[in-house]
Amino acid sequence: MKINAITVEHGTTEAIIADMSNQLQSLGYTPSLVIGYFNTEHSVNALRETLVNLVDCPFMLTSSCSGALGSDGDKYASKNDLVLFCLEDSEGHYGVGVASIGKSDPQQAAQQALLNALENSGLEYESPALIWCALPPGEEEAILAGFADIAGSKIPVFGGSGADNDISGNWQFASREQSGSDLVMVSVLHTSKPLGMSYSSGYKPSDKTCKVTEAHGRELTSINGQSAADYYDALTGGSISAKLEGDDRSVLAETTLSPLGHEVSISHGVPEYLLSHPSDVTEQGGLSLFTEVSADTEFTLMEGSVESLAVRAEKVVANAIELLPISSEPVGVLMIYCAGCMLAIGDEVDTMLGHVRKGIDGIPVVAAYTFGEQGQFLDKQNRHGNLMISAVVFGS
Amino acid sequence: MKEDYEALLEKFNLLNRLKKQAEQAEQQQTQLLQGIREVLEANTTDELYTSMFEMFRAILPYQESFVLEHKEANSLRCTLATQNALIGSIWQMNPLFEKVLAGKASAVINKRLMKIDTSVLDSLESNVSALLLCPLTVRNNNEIIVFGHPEAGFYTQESVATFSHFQAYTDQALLSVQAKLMAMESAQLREAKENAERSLLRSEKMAAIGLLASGVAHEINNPVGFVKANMDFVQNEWPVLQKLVELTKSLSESSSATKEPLEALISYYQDSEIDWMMEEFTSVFKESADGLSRVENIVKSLKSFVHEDGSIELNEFDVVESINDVLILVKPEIKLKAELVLNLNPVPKVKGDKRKLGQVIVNLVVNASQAVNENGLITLTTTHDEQNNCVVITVEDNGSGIEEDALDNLFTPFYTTKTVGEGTGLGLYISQSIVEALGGSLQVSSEVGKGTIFTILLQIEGDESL
Repeated sequence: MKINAITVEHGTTEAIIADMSNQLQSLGYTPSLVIGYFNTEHSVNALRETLVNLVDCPFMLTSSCSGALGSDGDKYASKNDLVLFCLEDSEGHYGVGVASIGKSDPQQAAQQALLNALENSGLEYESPALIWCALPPGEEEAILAGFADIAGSKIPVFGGSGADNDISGNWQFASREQSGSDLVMVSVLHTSKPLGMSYSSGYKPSDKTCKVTEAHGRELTSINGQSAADYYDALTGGSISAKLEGDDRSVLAETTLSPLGHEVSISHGVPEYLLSHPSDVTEQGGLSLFTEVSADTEFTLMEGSVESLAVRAEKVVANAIELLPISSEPVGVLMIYCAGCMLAIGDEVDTMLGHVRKGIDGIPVVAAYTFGEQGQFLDKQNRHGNLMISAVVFGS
Repeated sequence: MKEDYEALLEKFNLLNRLKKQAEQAEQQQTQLLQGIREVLEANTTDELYTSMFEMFRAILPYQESFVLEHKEANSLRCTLATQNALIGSIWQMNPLFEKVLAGKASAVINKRLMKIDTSVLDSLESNVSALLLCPLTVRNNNEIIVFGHPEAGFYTQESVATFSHFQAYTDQALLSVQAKLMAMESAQLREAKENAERSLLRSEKMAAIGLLASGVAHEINNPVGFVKANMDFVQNEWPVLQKLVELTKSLSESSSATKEPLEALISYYQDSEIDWMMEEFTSVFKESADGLSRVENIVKSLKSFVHEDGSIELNEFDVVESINDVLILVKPEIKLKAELVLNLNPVPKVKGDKRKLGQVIVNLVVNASQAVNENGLITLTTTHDEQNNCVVITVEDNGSGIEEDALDNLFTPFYTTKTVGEGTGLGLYISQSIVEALGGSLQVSSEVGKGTIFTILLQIEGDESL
């Protein structure tokens, strides 16, 4: 198995394409799969067309908030306009499937995308080692349910939701066959070598808890019988007071280090928390989240810091490496890092990259900054969460 | 501080996961070894299959499991299964099976996604969806064990890795199952063979009884005839004795002064030849007792010969006594055709079932009687071969002898030189089997026109050189 991370830091779309082409042609092998992330300022169609001509393998391209992280040997940057995770595995089987939500509901689109990917892999009925996805933000739970309809809930689904740079809905997706903004894209990876996977939040539970008393989809209406926004504001010492009224109701920045966490029981271990990130105060005084929520859910107020988020990624990658078989060495890392966390730590994102690089001795790493993260905790159930970090390590 | 908490939390969860994995692996290994032990201790096929499938459950949960054998080029056949309905089902070869047979386990998300006929699985109530197909190597044959679970996607690459980790054990387990099955089948075959042999012995014995029946009947009829004649004589003379008793009674009741009763008694005694009659009665009673004794002996011999309770006696017995027991049955058959000369020398006892040796003697003597012409001579001899420490029994006739090419097939089942209806062709085959079961051997030598000698060699206890 050979893995390389192609990184193109900045430039015009034409310049990026030229640089990418050069690097692809110098790879010295034909990849089995390419997973790419790019800054949505660039034309996804131009990138797609170039890739169609340059590589003879399935690929998926997804926009990532403010670019994507890439590192390979001495070449690295926390924010590149384009990164490509190129994987060659002649004994493995890989397939990409795509379906547009516009033509069906999200769950059906997910089913179709996964069936396509399985068929394109050449092993249409076998369980892959991993399902790697890129999803349009907003309907992730339904999409995961669609994957489960086909493949059950145990095959690991990792990946992240596409992102733009200002939450204006300008996320883009492309595969060899098509491009768009409402595509469910999925890669099935029947790898010939083992994988290590880790999914985690970088937050600590506080002693403040509450219970959802009313919720509809992704809108949290009331907590403990009170307006959700007011209750959250009081719980956090007035962190969103300024946004309770007025035109600017966005609270993403204010809530990034104080999300709500739902405890996921892990037998014989310390509980993990699946995070929900409040994004806006609604006109009715509720809170919009990036995850679905239901009445009676017990929430714990979580605590994070720039420092913890900066060092967190390295720990997640290290855990994934630990889960490789003893005889296997890491040869590449695919990572998902929440865009909210990335924006919250600002320039410390370089520190984050530095920590990651320190732990992996120059092996290729690609990470996307996403608007939602999918993965499995130790309980082996696929979930969608916010402010999460995940890593898939490819072993030798 | 916060970083310390998160680092500790992460480390704790990771260590727990690794510990859990290690514990699980250890538990699986223990259960697998226990399972192999249980397989080896199974006494019935049902127990064996139950143990085997429970053993596999120790490493992988499943609803159904079955084994596919690759014997035909383009298909596999189910030979073992948790459900009888699966056994015997034929599965057409496909790329997935080829891959697994080549040694690579594979997890199937949902059998419905496979473009093969899975109707036999669809018919089960267990509603199996996910499949895990694993290679098994048993005695250099590649086979596939399939696990099925109702939950789609239940088996992942982790399941594949788990099975691969334990493949050496599972191969060993299936090898144990196969070995145990062969042992069980071998025991069943042995039992069936013994049953068939018992049945043959019985048939042959009944055939011998048929052959001997007329002679035996004649032998019984003779004493029965003269006993009946004797009884007629007694019945006829009985009134004379009754009269004598009445006269004696009158005499005893009369007074001593009267002479007439005494004179009447004396006169009757003299006129009726009572002395002669008493002599005759003594002779008749003795003759009748002898006759009945002969009948009793014949019936006893017949009963002993026919007796079959399935048991095999392994006591020491006297060969000469065994021969004498059956001679009473064969003598009537042969006495009109040949003279039977007995040279039954005392010999050491041998171990075995004397009734079975009797059957061999009957068979050989009857064969000899059929081989001789008029003035035939059949000689039965027992000797002790001290040098070889064995008892030698020979049955020799001066009949027509046997052609050399016929000699080669003499002990072959269903081979006979007799005309249809005279012989089953099993007599000598069975005789040889019986003698061999007694630890001895049956040999034949013959010269055309001069006669045939059958020689039975029986080892004496403590000598296994025959």
